[in-house]
Formats: sequence, C-alpha cells, structure tokens
Amino acid sequence: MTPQRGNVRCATALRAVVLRGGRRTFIVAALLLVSQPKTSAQQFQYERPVSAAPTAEDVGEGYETPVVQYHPPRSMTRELIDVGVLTGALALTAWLVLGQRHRFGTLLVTIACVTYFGFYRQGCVCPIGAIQNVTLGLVDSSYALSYVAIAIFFLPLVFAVFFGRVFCGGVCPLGAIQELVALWPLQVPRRWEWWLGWLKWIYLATAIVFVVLPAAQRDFIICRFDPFVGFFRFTGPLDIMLIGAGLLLLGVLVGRPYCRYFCPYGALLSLPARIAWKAVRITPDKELDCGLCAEACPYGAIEGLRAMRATCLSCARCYKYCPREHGTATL
Amino acid sequence: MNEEPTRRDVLGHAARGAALLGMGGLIGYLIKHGSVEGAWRINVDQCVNSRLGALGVDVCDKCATTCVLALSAVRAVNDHAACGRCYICPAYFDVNSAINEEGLPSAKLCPRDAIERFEIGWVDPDDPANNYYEYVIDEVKCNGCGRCVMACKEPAGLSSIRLEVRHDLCLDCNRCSIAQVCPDDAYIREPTT
Amino acid sequence: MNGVRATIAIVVVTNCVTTLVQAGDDAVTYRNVRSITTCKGPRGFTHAMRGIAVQNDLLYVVGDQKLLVLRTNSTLARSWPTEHPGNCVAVHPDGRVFVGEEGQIEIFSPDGKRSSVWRDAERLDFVTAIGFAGDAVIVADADGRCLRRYTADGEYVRDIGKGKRLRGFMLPNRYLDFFMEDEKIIRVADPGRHRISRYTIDGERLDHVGHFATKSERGFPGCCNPTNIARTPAGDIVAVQKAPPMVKVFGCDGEFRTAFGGKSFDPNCKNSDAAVDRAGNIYVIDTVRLEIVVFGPEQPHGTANDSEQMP
Repeated sequence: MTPQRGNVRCATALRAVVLRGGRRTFIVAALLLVSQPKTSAQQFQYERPVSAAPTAEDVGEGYETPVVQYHPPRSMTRELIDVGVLTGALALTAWLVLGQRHRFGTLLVTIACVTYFGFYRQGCVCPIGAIQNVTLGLVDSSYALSYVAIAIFFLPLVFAVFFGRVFCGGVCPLGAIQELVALWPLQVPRRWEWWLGWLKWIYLATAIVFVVLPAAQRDFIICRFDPFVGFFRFTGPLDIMLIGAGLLLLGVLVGRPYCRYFCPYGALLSLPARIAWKAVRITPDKELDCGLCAEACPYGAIEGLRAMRATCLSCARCYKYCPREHGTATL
Repeated sequence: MNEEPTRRDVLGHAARGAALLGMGGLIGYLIKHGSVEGAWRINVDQCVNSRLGALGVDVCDKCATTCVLALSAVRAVNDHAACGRCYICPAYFDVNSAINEEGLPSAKLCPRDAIERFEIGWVDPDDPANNYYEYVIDEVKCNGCGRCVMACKEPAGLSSIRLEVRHDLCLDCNRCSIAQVCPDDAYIREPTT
Repeated sequence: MNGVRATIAIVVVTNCVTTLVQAGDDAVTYRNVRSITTCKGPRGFTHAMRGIAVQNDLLYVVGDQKLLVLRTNSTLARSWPTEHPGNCVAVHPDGRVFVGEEGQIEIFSPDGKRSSVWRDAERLDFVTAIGFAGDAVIVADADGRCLRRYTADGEYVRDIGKGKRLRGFMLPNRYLDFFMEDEKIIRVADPGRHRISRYTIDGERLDHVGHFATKSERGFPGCCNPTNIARTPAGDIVAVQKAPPMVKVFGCDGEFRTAFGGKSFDPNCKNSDAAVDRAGNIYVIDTVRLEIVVFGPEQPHGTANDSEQMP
C-alpha cells in the first residue's frame, strides 16, 4: 500500500523531470547550438522509511489529499526573456547613442533597465558578478555554469567589440542608479583619474584570486561587496548599505565613482571597447573648438576634445551639449 | 565612402576578429562544461531539522534569519500524503505548554502562527480525538524557521514537514548567505557534476 | 482512598480483583536488570528487530526474515527463517508459533517447521500483533487500522474496532498492539488518541484508560503513544511509548503505577514491542540498538500506604 503510493509519486516526479528537462534541452540547443547539456536535478526525492499516513479513503467523505506546495525554479522561458531584454537594451542603447545621439532616449533606457534588472530582478544575475562564475567555470571543470550566466556575461563584451561600452551607458543597473544621482558632477584631476583607474584592475585580480582558491576558502567578493544591490532589494548588510549610500552621495559630485574606479567588469569591458568598430566619436571641427563636450562629460572620458574609447560610458551627454549637433546620424 | 580601407581599418578588423574568436573559444569551453540551470536546494537528509536520528539538538533557524530577503525564500512544506493528520500534532501544538480545559496543549509551536488546523472528512461531534486533522502551512506567513520540521521528525512524528527553497523568491545569489552559515552543508547548489 | 477506588473498579471490571489486591499491598517498581545483546549480529539481527513474545521461559524474537528463540539466560536456543520480515510473534498455548508479517501470518511448529500460512489480501495488510482467545485468533492489522477476528482454522469472523461511528484506530506510527485480558476482553493501544481501550471479542467497545499529557508522566506525550502494550502476570498494563522512549505501568483500571527506562533506550527507538514473563520481568526491544532491555520488578518492604506516595 505504502510502496505503491511512493512509486506513483516517484513516477510523477520522474515524468516532470523528463518533460521539463526535454523542453529546456530543446530551447537551449536551438538557441546556443550545443549538444548534450547536463540534465538538471529536480525536487529532492523525500521518502521516509515508514509512512503510515491515513489515505483519503481512511479520512472519508470525499476528502482529497491536497497537492504539496512546490514552486519550480524560474522557468527557462523567463530566463530567456532576461537574455532577450538584455540584448534588446544593448542594441537600443547602441542605436540611440551612436545612431540617434539621443541623450533623453538613452536616459529612458537607463531608467527602464534599472527598473527591470535592478528592482524587478533584484540585481541578479548580473555580468559583474558573473565574472567570478565564468572564472570558476574555466578553472574548475566540475563547476557547471548555467547557460544564462554565460550569455549574460558575454553579451555586453560582444557588444563592446562593435559599439563600445553601451552596457555601462544604458543597461547596467548599478551604473544607472549612479547615473540618476550624478546631479552636479565635478571634473576629477586627470592625474588622480589615472591612478584611481588602476583600482578596478586590482579589484578584478583580487576577485579572481578569491574564486580560484580551494572551495573551502572560495569567496564571491564582488557579490559580497556589491554596494547597490541592497537598494534594489530594500534590505542588506548594514555596512555594505552604508558603503553604497556613501558612494551614492559621492556620486552626486563625482560622476559614477563605482563604475570608474571599482567596477571589475568595467575594467574588462574597456579592453574590447578600445578596438570598438563604432564608438562615441567627437568629429574634429575646424571652425569651432568650444570644448563644451569635455566640460559636459561627467566621467572625464574626453581628452583633448576626443572621446576615449576605453573610458567612455556611452551616456550621450556630449552630444546633448554640442552646439553643432542636430541629431544627424553618422552611423 | 568608397575609399580603400586604410591600414588602421584592417588592423581594427583583425583585432575585432581575434577578440570575437577568443570569446567564442571561451564560450564554447564553458558551454561544454555548463548546465541548463542551477538552483539552491535543501538536502533534507542533511538538514539538522529534518535529518533522521538527530535528536536532542536545538532547532536551527539559520534559513529564516540569514537570507538576504526580508522574508526568507525558505519555507516549511507539509507533504500531505505523508502527514499523519494527528489529533495532537507536535508541530502545531507546543507540547510542552500547559494543558487547557479541552485537554489540548494551550500554546502553538509556530512563532508566526503560520499553521492552520482543521478537521477533515467525517467529523465526530462527540469525540474530537476520533477526527483527522489537516495541517496547512501558510507560506506567506512562514519564514522557514524549522521548528515544526524538528517537531514532526521521526520518531516523534512522521517527518512529513520539510524545509524547501521557494525558487520563485530565491534570488539565486552566487554567495548564498544561508549556504555560508548552514551548519551541516545541507544548503547546496545543484547541479554540479 | 485506595479502597474506594478498588470497590468501583471491582463493580465495573470483575477480572481485575487480583491486581487490585496486589496493588494495595505494595507498589511495584522496576529496575533495568540487564540487556540481552545476543540477538544482534550475524547470527541474530542486522537491520530490524520488531516483535517479542515470552512462553515457558523462552523468548521468541522476530526481525529481518528470521525468528530467534532465546533462553532467559540470553543464550540462543533455536532460530529459523521467515518468509518476510516478521513484525510480531505469538506462541499459541499448544506450542505453535505465529509470526505476523506484511500480508500474511506464518505458523510454525515448536521446532520451526512451517505448518501453514494465512494469507488474506484484504485483511492482513500489515500484521503487528496476534492473540489467542480460546477458539478465536485475534490479529491486529495496522494498515487496516483495526483488529481482525479469525477462527482457529483461519476463517475470518469479524472486524473489531472499526464501525459506522468509529474510525478505526489512529496509528500514525503504523503499529497496532493489543493483548488478551481474558478469553473475551481485548486491551488495545490506540496511540493517535493517547488511549488504551478495551473491546470484547465480539467488537463491542467497553472503555478506555490513558490521556494526553505534556509534562506529567502519567499520560502519554507526542502525537501517538503508547505504541506497544503488554500484560503482567498480575494483570497490570505495561505501556511502551516513543519520543522519548519510556515504559509505564498502569493498573487495569488505569491507575498510574510507575514510569521508568527513559535512559535505557536509544532516543530514536520507536514501536518497541514488550513482553512479560511469569516472574514479572519486562522485556522491551530497543529497535535501534537491536537489543532486548530487561526490567525486573522490585518489591519494596513498605507498608500498605506506600502506594499512596506516587512518584
């Protein structure tokens, strides 16, 4: 009597595993052209040696055993929607910044992205934290990195090869929350800018070292010290929240301090951005050298009236302040 | 616009091509070792609250107190098919409290009053001990403190209650704060090969 | 005080007279005498040890597909295999050994030859106790949540404990235990209701003793206790509970006598079967350590008033 009931439950769970696993396999194979993804384990089988629970018949009066509450992991469809939103937002930002040179449109994308990736998805999964997972996936062959994390990590990098750091400008929720508080940005002296710019490389190296450590000492420090994720979740460790609040206050006067000086993913993005196919470009003009763009850039990314591809965050502010800019497309 | 590509353009294309190729290689390697999905789960055979044989230990409420969410993503779940539907459920009643005039313990075990108790099936109007009772956990109130799980464990109960991660709430943090403090490494990420 | 209670009990239950006389004389206490460990190991049990019975100074113990016959000095007398893991064992006055299993009852001759098997798909789902009342054989079916009465030849007669207005026994622990008080009366444990009830072999419900209690050791704690009961030669009820495991002795009118043995068992023990020999020694199975814990009675040299001072 009891074993039969257990078998039925097992069979149902098994069928669910097969069905769900099969559908995912198909979607992922179609999307990423991969073969043989590992099947994922589902709900734990929870069988105890003896079950003497009364059956629905024992209870009587047409009683039916209620379904056990179970919330499945986030469906693959919704994960794919995340990837789709990310791709769309990157493409839209590239078009608005490089094609339309449209500051206000870019700002709207920023707000939309901080709402979706920040407050709705509560800051996970993000490519910044995925640095650690990707590193772990590379050094530890037993660690199975999820395909969504791979996509989230590499999409902004691929876009950077073509269009520069459009992820920073329009999509990144951590950047966006600082973008929204950058009210009276000051220019940071160039020398400081250069020295402070090295911090993010040190942070990146430290994060990688902590991931490569043996499992017992392994630590995901980028996630642990993520200063703004607590704001998206409206809760978090007090010290980290205070650091985040401090960075936001600083961000009123110094544009995007985390992105420019600490963000390890920004460090990575600056590499492909250097060879970007199209990027924010300030065309030389023989008649007018007003330098308004350089003053407007809150991130010190315009040097000698030329936009630096590595540090330009693609916010399109320079275009907005250019007296000759009439919104003509040069792409 | 029909100019010959300059040396700079050619170098740029080559660099971009190399960068894309390099990334492609990394992606290929990662996909080969990757998985469709991973999720945090609680191994009920490890968890001190539900592991059989672990008696006389204090209840572990780390799942309730350390999740980054204000209300933890961990919930207690009653497997109704395994529930004994007892008259006096040690997970519902605080069986150390004083007996009231109905002969039942006067206090409830759940600190958040998240368990509901009601008669099911045919109800005997004369003898409440002759009825079966359903125990339903309100997952909006429950924060996964594990007290009921511990109380329902064999041999005291039938171990029908367990702790489970609500995947619709879990943020899938890389560095799950519950997994960091779980005393028995019962909070695990699956799948890893 | 004791006398008043005794008179009422005599009016209600005539067969308790001897017990009450003894209870009035002195309060029996029990002491953990020893543990029998010979039933554990390759010659004995390795996984489960479920049922015990005592007859003529021999202990019959069943467990994983095996039956052991032990002498009271712990040595092994005989052993033979059973078809399925045995849940309970009972020895008929004529010497035949009945072993209750899942789905069937195996009947062996005293020297271990299988003489017959009773199978009843509907009514013998999980046999956890067997008793004999003259011509009748009473069988406890834990999955059916009731007692089944058969004739000596294995003809089904009737169910006991389940009826239109009666839901059967509440057994979250999947174990139904009973003993015969005499040829007509069955004393049966109802753990889900925290009671020990009495039925006639014709299925009539008489009365019950026992109640739920939290801190007091006079009642039964937890979701489902007592799990197992046995009868002393004096007619007292030995009730074994789980979580925490403990043995409690009640008079046949439900009067609490003593509780003991909490520290003698593994705390994870459950459904520990008990048996009492002619000398009043109580044998209880430790289902985790696979041992038999023996408790011996101690007669204090007290006065008649000792029984008033209950622990």
